[in-house]
Amino acid sequence: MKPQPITYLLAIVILAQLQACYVNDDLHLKNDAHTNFDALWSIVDEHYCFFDYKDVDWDSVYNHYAPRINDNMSSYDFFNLCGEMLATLQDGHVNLASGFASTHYWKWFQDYPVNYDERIIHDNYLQFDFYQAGGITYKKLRDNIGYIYYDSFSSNINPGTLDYILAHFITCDGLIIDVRNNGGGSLGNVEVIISRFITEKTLAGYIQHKTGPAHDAFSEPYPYYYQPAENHILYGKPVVVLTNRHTFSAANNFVQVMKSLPQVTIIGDRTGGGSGLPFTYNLPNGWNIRLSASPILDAEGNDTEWGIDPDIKVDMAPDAQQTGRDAILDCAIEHLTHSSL
Amino acid sequence: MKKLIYIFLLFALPLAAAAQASETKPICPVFTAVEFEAGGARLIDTYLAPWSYSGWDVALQVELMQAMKLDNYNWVWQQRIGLNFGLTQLSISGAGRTLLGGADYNFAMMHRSSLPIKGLQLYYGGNVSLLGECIYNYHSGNNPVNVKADISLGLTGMAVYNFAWGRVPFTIRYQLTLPVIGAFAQPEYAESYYEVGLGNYHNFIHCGTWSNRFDIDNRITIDMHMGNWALRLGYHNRINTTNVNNNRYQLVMHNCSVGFAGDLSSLDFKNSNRPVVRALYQLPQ
Repeated sequence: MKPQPITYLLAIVILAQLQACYVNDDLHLKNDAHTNFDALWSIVDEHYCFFDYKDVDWDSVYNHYAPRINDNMSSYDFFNLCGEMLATLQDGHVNLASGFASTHYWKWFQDYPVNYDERIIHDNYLQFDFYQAGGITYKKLRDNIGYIYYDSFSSNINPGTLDYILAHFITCDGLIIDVRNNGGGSLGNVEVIISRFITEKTLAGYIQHKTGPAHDAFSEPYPYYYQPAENHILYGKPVVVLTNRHTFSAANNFVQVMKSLPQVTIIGDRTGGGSGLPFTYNLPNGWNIRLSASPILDAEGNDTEWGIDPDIKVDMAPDAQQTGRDAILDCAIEHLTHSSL
Repeated sequence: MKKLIYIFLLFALPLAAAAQASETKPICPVFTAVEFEAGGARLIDTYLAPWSYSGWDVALQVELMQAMKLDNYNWVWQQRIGLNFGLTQLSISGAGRTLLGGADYNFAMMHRSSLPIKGLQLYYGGNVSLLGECIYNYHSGNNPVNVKADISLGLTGMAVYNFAWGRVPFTIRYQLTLPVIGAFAQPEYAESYYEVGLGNYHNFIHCGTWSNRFDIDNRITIDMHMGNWALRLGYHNRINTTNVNNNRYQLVMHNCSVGFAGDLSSLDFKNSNRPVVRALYQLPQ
């Protein structure tokens, strides 16, 4: 007997219902310490992008920490153990956020000189007489040098405000952009600032992403470019960017691009790195794991996860600090004064 | 000679058609239905998180349908416009939150066949659907959102059964819509929308077939007719599934609906004597 159309219809409907299985994949899971630990380890295993670069054996990390998990441990003990495991990645972009705390990896700057003292700058260079707008502190310093301090790339910059600031420095012999202790923020703000220091389309770097869960599954590096800001003030005089180990993430990216420009000199300490664009994922218990997922390379195709060396390495000498001097800032002023002669 | 025949046909055919139209003049109102839906949603999108979320969903659906002159009024067109919004939480723990919101549009043309059973009609044909969906996970970061954009061609069919219970006429309808082929957008495994925004569209648009995308839409409604209008109660099940770039996505909705259906033109009170067909389904068999 020939099948009726209704038979085909029913077959399709049944097949369709068989497809509806993804959302039921985790129905068997319990919200306990073992499940959440395995989930955390797996998410990092499948998404973290610097295993090979940092030569981390993530399987052996699991074997080391998994036996220490038990379902009766307190939330704090579990949280601390997870934080300890994540510290093996040596990455300031890796954080586990629970309802009561977040884990942090601090060693990317805590073992290095601080190299920044806001009070010294305010007391002895700005004399508490400066302008502030859009997260930027700025003033003309002695010797006709402009100074900008930008503490976070999370502070959005209005292009009009930036016009005012750059116009204020138009007669200066050079400009200092201080991004010490700048922990990063939005890459969009990086582009907004850099677009004022280039006069043509400029290769900023390359971006990659994971294409699958394997540790070596990466896309081809994709070049990305910055364009000079149209109808806005461009600044073409010598520029110095001040850095320390706490210059991290988007600030590291800013330094990476600025360093490639001919009129720019980087002075200070090696940056803190953090070149991986972080992604965030939920654990089954609702905690969030943030991790580096997408490497951003410099214009030569190099990874800057471990930081960027300055052109002129200077540390703030403790004795100079006691006399109220910022050796890094002094070096920048001297550099610009000489380059303008 | 040929030219003369063409000129004759050019003028004669419209006249003939007009003559035919003046003979039959069937009334084909635009059958309109507005439904409010509420129910449960279950969701997984491994681009955002590798766990399922479940919660509630509400939707507004508008349906327009009309018989076509084609093949002696044995074809109908149907348009459906939908808006939906949902809030879900991690199925395992009830923590975390994911919002979803979207809009969809479907256009279908179906052929009508009467079956040997009195009151039962079968419609079947093709469907074009457009779907835009946005899923937002509150974990923020650089991957808080995934945008779904889908266009597809597929099959649709419905079985309609008219009956009366006492003096009240009812219409029960089941409609299945099954996209077959199309295109949809999905970033690579851990590609940020920031990178897509930089211009990297490699492997972003995919040809959708049942190997990587399977959607299905099931609707059951019962209309209780009251004059030119009907009270509609129903159930709507929608499943959207993609599996591409090592990212799995599935949305399953089960909604109950309530609404009304009928002929919008019957609201033209200036012409109260206008005879209308109560519902499209009740065209003569």
